[in-house]
Amino acid sequence: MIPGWLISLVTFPGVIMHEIAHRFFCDIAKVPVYRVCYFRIGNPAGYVIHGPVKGLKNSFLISIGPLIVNTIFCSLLTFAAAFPILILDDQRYSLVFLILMWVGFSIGMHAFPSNDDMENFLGEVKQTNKQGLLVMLATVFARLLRLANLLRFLWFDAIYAYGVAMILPSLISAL
Amino acid sequence: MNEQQVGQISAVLPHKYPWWILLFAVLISLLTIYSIVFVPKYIVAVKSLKAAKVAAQAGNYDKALKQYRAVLAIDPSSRKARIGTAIALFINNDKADDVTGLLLLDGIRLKEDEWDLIKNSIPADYQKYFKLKK
Repeated sequence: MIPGWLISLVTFPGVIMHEIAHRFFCDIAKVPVYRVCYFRIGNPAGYVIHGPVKGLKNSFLISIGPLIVNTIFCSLLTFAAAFPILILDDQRYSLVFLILMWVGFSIGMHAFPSNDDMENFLGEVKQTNKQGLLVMLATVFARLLRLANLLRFLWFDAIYAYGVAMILPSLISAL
Repeated sequence: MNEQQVGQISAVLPHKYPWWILLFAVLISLLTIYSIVFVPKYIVAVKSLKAAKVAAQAGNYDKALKQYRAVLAIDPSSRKARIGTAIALFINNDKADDVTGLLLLDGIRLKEDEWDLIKNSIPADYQKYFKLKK
């Protein structure tokens, strides 16, 4: 089994992007940020310590921010490189495309919010004391992401990154 | 870190990022733009490849050849386009094209299904140019 710190080291652009997304959405939601570690060799590989979050929408954005930002950048960064590497089946790959694939995959692999992020979000959902479709959807979404985190030992994060990288080129080639 | 400890440290300024994070953001933005710039030409290549395969399956090898060549003009390293072009060249029965077909396959490690396709279209005396590797 490959240690988590080594995976984080190899995919460090994803860790940095994940923390930037948390920090960015904290700033957008006007939530004070007390400490940020964008990358380190350890567990966790990065973190953002912020003040209390008001409102389910803000909590959703801060917790789910990396999923949105990392997924978009994974898709865009691998977009061009996925054609020659995964669809046209090139014999030789250009170095820039290999860099694009590495950065894109790394970012995609760190798209899932951590279990701590999900705990914070679920806590906020419970605090709202509301019943309704939004709360139900939020709870289901949070549980799905916790399941995704649980499946990381089966490389679910890498499978997700591969899926995100393939989705646009596959759709285009199927049309 | 508990709430008391958090209360003792001041919040970082919003939207103020360390210089190396800004550099990281600039690099990621440049890479993203680079990727997006190349997308249109690869869309054309993938569309041509699809059209070539459809034409080849319908037995229209002239059209297939034209489409495969369009792919190679964009992406000369594409194995699928090189193999497809070679097959179309062998099938058109013009001996003059056979050398081009063989050159396109030079250096390519063929999978079993690809070799089966080529074997069916290549003149028997050319098979000696291919080596089996395990």
